[in-house]
Amino acid sequence: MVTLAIPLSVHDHVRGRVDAPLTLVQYGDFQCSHCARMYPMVLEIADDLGDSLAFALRHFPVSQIHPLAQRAAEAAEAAASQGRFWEMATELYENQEELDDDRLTRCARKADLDIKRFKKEMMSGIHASRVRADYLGGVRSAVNGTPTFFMNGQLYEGPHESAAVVAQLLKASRGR
Amino acid sequence: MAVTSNIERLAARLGVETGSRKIGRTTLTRLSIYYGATLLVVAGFIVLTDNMKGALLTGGAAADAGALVNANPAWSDLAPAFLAPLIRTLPPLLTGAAAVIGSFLLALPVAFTYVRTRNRLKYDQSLVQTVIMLPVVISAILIVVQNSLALAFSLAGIVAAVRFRNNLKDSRDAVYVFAAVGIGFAAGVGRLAIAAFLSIFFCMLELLLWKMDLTADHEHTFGMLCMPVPRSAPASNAVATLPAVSGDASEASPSADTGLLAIGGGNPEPGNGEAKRPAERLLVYCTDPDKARAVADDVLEKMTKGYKLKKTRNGGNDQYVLEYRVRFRRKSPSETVIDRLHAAGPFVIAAEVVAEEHEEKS
Repeated sequence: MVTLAIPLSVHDHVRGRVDAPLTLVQYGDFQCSHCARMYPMVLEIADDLGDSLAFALRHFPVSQIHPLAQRAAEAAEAAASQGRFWEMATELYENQEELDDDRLTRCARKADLDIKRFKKEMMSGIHASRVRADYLGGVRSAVNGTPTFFMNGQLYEGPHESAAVVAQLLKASRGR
Repeated sequence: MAVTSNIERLAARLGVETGSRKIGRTTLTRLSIYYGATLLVVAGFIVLTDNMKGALLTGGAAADAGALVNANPAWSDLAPAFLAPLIRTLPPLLTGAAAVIGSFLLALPVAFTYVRTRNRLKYDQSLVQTVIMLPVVISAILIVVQNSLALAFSLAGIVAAVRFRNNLKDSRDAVYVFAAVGIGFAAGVGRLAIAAFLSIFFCMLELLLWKMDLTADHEHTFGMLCMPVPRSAPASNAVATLPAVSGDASEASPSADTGLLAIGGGNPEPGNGEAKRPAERLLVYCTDPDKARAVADDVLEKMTKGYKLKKTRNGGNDQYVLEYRVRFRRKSPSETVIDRLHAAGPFVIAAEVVAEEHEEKS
């Protein structure tokens, strides 16, 4: 069975408590349409379950087919440095059709970021290493596409639907 | 518990089959009461039929009937030709009825267990009815066939002529059919006690297996059955060794902090005061090992002092890992090689250099 190589930690962008009894880690790509479809569903599940679930979003930009995904992930990291990761992620998924630098800035504005700081960080590429680290962590966990989910450290191979994810979470909660 | 209930609530809201595995007091109470009453009935049948002696049409039973007729002069006076055969059929009829009714009564809890342990998706109404009716039919057939070889062959011929195909929704459903057959068989040959035992034992075992959800998780079951029990090592050590056994891609990556090189950048952290290593361990993650190897060999041939493919392993999830021992050149360090590997084709997902010492662990 494929397991998560890099365990969930405080360094992750986590919705809910990091030490929650259930963990759900998603490797996502901001240009991936499946990720965009799943994102609100998973977010709703995470919000419904509150402290019972730690939902983490990690970057897995598949640059070969999504050339703008790497920059979008860096933009999300830039937002994270201002404490607005989830707001920015939502904006990025909602505007995934064109994620050029102008659109990224607009998303940043919508996410209520300090634009000057955001642009500076994007120019310097300071967050590229973090995105690459996430990517490589995904590769080590045998991720080869997006979205890929890990529930309590185990690869989730079921359908990408709310009901199926919840059913698997339920199973995981009983198997604890 | 609170976690599970939270998710159960959400699952219920989304219409997800929660598949709750609580057997519940009601189920057990009902089953116990039912079995108590049924066992009384079965015991009554056994006593009434003198331990189901009439199940086999032996000469003894016929002789008993004849003796009954002869012992009662009034009956023999009435219409011997009419009454004697009728009276002679009574013991086997009573026994046969006991067998058929007994098998029906004992099959009901099996059907109940099926309904209790299946969710809406796997529930099959026809199977429930089959489990109820099959023992009745089988016991009746066995009463008819009894010890007659000719009848048995005739039955085999008739059964062979009837052809039907039915796909079971769940392979475990076959067990219920076999249990029904077993109950019908035991009752049919006059072993109601065996049928009762089979019914009770089957239901209890099935409920227990369902509740415990045994062998649901392969890793857990494998670990439980096939892995050596750690003697005095702490639990965390046992967990840490699992990836190496499973052959997971994570075995080569003990932590995120190892000196790794991401595609297109990152610097490997040199070992603290460690001596120069002549060769380094390069992992190439790919989707097609053959095509990726051709690409990687080409790049390594041009850009390194020397290289050797040590092994190819399946990382899981349709991903493969090529493991090279590579001696990098000063003018084309590992970062450059990794960049080139990534640019070389779509089959290479990523590449990294990991510290040599980790190989010893795997």
